[in-house]
Amino acid sequence: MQAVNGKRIFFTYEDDGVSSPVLEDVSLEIQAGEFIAVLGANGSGKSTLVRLLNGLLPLEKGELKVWNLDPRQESRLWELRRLCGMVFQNPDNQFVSSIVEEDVAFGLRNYDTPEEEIPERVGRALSLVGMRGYERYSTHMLSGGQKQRVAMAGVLAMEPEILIFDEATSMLDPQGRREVLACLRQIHGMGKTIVMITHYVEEALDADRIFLMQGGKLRKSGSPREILTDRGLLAEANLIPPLAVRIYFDLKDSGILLDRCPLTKEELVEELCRLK
Amino acid sequence: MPIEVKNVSCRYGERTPLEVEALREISFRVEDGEFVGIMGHTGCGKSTLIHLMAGLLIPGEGRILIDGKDINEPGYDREELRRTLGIVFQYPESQLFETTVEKDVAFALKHLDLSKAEKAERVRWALEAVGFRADSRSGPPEIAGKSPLALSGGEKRRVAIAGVLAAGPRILIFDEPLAGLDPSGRLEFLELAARLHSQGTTILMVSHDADALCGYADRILVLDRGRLCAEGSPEEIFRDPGRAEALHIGAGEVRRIAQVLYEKGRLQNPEITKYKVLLDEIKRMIKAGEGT
Repeated sequence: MQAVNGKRIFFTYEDDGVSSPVLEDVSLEIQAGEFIAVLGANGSGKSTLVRLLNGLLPLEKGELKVWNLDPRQESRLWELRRLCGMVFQNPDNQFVSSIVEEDVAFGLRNYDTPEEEIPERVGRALSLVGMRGYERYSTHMLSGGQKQRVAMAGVLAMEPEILIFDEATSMLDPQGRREVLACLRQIHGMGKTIVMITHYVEEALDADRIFLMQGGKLRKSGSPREILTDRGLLAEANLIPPLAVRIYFDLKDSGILLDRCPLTKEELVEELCRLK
Repeated sequence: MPIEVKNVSCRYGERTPLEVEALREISFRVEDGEFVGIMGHTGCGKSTLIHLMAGLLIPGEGRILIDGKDINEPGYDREELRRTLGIVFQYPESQLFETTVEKDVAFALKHLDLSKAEKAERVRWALEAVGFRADSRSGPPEIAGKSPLALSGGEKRRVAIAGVLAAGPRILIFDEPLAGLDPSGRLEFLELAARLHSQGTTILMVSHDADALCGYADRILVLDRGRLCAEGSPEEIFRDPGRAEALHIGAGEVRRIAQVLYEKGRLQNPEITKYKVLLDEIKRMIKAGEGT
């Protein structure tokens, strides 16, 4: 089953008659259950791409199927948005209620979910993100990581198939990031499809595949190892490789060659300890 | 212009049921031209502290002195404080509002007694400082005429920072300036901060990014639940990784790699927090290995 299938997608923002192309000829396929990390410099088109997936931005040119639905088919847009949920960057900007359980139930109520089903679905969603027991908390009393997990619960309550994270960890402290990433892995483990935009290359290490965006194009898709150990490719995309990869190449530049290019710090240590 | 924070406490919602203690008995001093990092868990009081230093909040107790003068004393020249000290808030791009980049950057110059030409020069300098180069010697960079709202996220951030730089502050405070920037944007920002620092500007920077602060800051202050609980060089702050973890400031990747190599008996000293030092130590380690 394909979660996403897009062909030859173009997108242009218009501003005062000036048009700036943001996506140029992007084709992509994502299998159900895959974990995709989207990397790219600011302005490379990452956010635009994912906003097309659930119809937040209108598809202008190209073909796109998300869970077999066409985002242009307006009569099924609600179904699409239920199936393909999004968690955004700023935890404070996405609350619609000041009480946790009300916030998580917001989407369900909009979809006319029978009132008697709501408490159970809210409870289940909060359990999935480790926030059971916080139902009656005020949202502004939560930490950043907790707020993002509540936002995730709001999406999960809709029982989506695809979850999109648009830099959902970038405003969090290290602990908040760990909490959100642990949740994300757990949701992926349940078989959901994950599309995660991030600027932290370490967060992309867990992905099945990385989409590397550059200047509005999908420059390359491949395994984290393929993408993140390719120094030239990353430099062209204006990205900086993970620390272990940087060390590998800086050593290489000074004439010290390790057997293979490590991706993680564990692999780096292993490589270094093998020397002698 | 040293900054002295003396025994400062601050509460929100005082005498209400929602009263919270944001800071308790904080004292430290920042010397002229220092680069100081501020770290701590979300809610530890970092933002409160920098708002106090910028004179945006008044402490319940204690005093804040800049250049020997108490900024909360009646009669203190607040205008001078505004000229001396610039603050770049979290996500400063959300404050862009003018119709063009040039007007936005020039906004802070409105109340300064400068000629039109001087203002234009300041704007040009500030835009160049954040990496927007002009094509010709005379004119401003191309971006100056654009709407700030039509820029990419990274560009907006730089324009917002230019707006603070234009006023020429001697002290700059940055609240999470790296959040949301891509890796090269982060590096560019850090290089900018380092450049301003090398020109004599005092820098205070709040960040969760241990690698970034360790690479650039002379000294790091750590807040935990409203108290100043550690203060020292990056090496000192991360000397005991367990303690750093308990203060909710995870060590950076550089320090973590150094620790593992030390535990495996490969490095003599785990207290490395800067990338270049780590790289040099690894080279030394490999050369020593080859020698035996």
